[in-house]
Amino acid sequence: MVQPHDTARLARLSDEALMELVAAGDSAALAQLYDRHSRVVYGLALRMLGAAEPAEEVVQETFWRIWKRSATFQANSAFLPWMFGITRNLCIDELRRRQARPMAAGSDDDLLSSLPDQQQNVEQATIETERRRLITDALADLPADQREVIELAYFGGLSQREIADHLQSPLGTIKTRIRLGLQKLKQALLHYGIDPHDH
Amino acid sequence: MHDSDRENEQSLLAAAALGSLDPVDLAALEQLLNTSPTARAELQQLRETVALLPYAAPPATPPARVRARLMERIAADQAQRAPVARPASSRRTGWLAPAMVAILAVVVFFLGGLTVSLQGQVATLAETNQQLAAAVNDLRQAVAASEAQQAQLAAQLTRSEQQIARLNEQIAHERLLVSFVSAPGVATRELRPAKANLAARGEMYMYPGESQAVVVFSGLPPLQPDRVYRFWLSDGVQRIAAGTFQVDAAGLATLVVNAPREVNAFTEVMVTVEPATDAVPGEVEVILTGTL
Repeated sequence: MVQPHDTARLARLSDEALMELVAAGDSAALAQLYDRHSRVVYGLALRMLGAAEPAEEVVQETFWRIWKRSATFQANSAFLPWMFGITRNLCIDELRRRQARPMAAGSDDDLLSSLPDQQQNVEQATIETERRRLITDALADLPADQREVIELAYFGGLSQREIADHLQSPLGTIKTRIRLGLQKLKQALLHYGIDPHDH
Repeated sequence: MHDSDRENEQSLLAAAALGSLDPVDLAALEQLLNTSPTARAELQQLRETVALLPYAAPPATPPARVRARLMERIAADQAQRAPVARPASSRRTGWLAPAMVAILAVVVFFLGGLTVSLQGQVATLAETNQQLAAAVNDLRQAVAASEAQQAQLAAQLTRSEQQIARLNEQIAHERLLVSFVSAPGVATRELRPAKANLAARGEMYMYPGESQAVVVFSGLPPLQPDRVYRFWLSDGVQRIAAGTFQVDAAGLATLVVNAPREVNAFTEVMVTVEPATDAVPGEVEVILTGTL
C-alpha cells in the first residue's frame, strides 16, 4: 500500500520514480508530475492547436491517460518522450477532427502573452526557461528549410508526404531535410550542454 | 552497406522519432528495428532529442480548473477501485453489541413463534381445503347421478305418455264401437268363410242411409307382416276397397268402415288376404264373404 508523500519528498524524485508511485495508485505522485510538466504540455498543446480551450482539454486528458496507463509505462524508458507522445497524439486527433492544421510558424506570441502565467515554482520556472532558450537556440542554428520541416512534422502533425505536398517539394528532399535537421539538432543540443538522455 | 542505404535507414528513424512516418514506410521501419539493435538505440536517442522540442513552445500555466477537474476524476477513479467501506469500529459498538444481541434474540424468538403459529394455521387451512375439495367432489357426483336419474325418469315419462295416448286412443275407439253396435236401429250382417275348413267369421253393424259401419272379426289366423286383410264393398258393378286390418293373437279384429256413400247402397262385402302393398283383388285369396 502506497503511503502519502509530502510534496518536498516527491519533488526530489525523478519522473520515472514518480511513475512507479503513480502505477501503485499514488495520486500525489501524479499531482507532482502535473505540477512539474503541465506548463510545457499546455504550451505544446497551445502551439499545435492555437486555442486555449482545446489545449486545456488536452492537458487534462494527457495526465488522465498517464494515470490510467501508468501500468504500461516501462520503468527503464524515459518519461518525457512517452508523455509528450501522448500530448502530441491528442493534439493530432484534435487537428484531424477540425480538418484544419495550423502551421508551425511561431505566430502564437500574442495568444500566449494574453494568458496569465501563474507559475510559482521559481526553480522549475528557471529550468524551463533555460531549457527553452537552449532548444530555441539549437533550432535557430538549423538551416531554415530544415527547421521548417521539423516544425511542420512535430508541431504541425504532418507526415513526410503531407509536408512534401504542403511545400510542393519532392518527397526525397523532405526526407533528407528531416534526417539532416534532426541530426544537427541533436549535435547542437550537445554543443549547448544538453544531453537529451539526461534531461 | 552503401551510403544511400544508410541514409534511407536514418531517414526512417528520424521520421519515426518525429512521428511523421508515412504508413507505407511502417513495414520497412519494423524490419529495420527487428534486425538492427543499433537502429533501435539510435531511434531511442532521436526520440529523446525530439522530446525536447516541446520546450521550444512558450510554456504557460493551464487554468487551475484543469488541475481540479483532473484530480476529481482521479479521486472518483480511486473511490471506484477502493474496497467497500468496513463497518464502524468495534470500540463504538462495544456497549451496543449486547443490546443488539438481546434485541436480535427477542426478534428471532418472536419470529420463531410467529413462524410456528403460521405453520399451524397453514396446516389447518390445508386440511379444511382438503375437506372442502372432497365435499365439492361428492356434490359433483351426486349432481351427475341425479342428472342420470332425471334422464331415465324423463324417458320413462315419455314412454308412459305415449302409452297413455295409445290407451286413450283405444278407449275412444272402443267407445265408438260400443256406442255404434249398441245404438238403437242398428242392422247386422254376417260374413262367412269362403272355405269350408276355415272357422273365421265377421259381423257387420250398419245403419241404413249412413256411410259408416263397424265390422267385428273373429277366428282369422294372424298373417305375416308383409300381408294384410282387406275389406271390400261391391254394388254388383264395381268393388271398392274400404280398409285393411290385422288380427291379434286370438284372431280378433275390429274395423270401422267409411264408405264413399251409404252402406246399404252396396250389395256384397268380402275380406281378402293380400300383399301389404298391393290392392289388386284378382291376385288375392278371398277369406270371408257376405251379402247386405
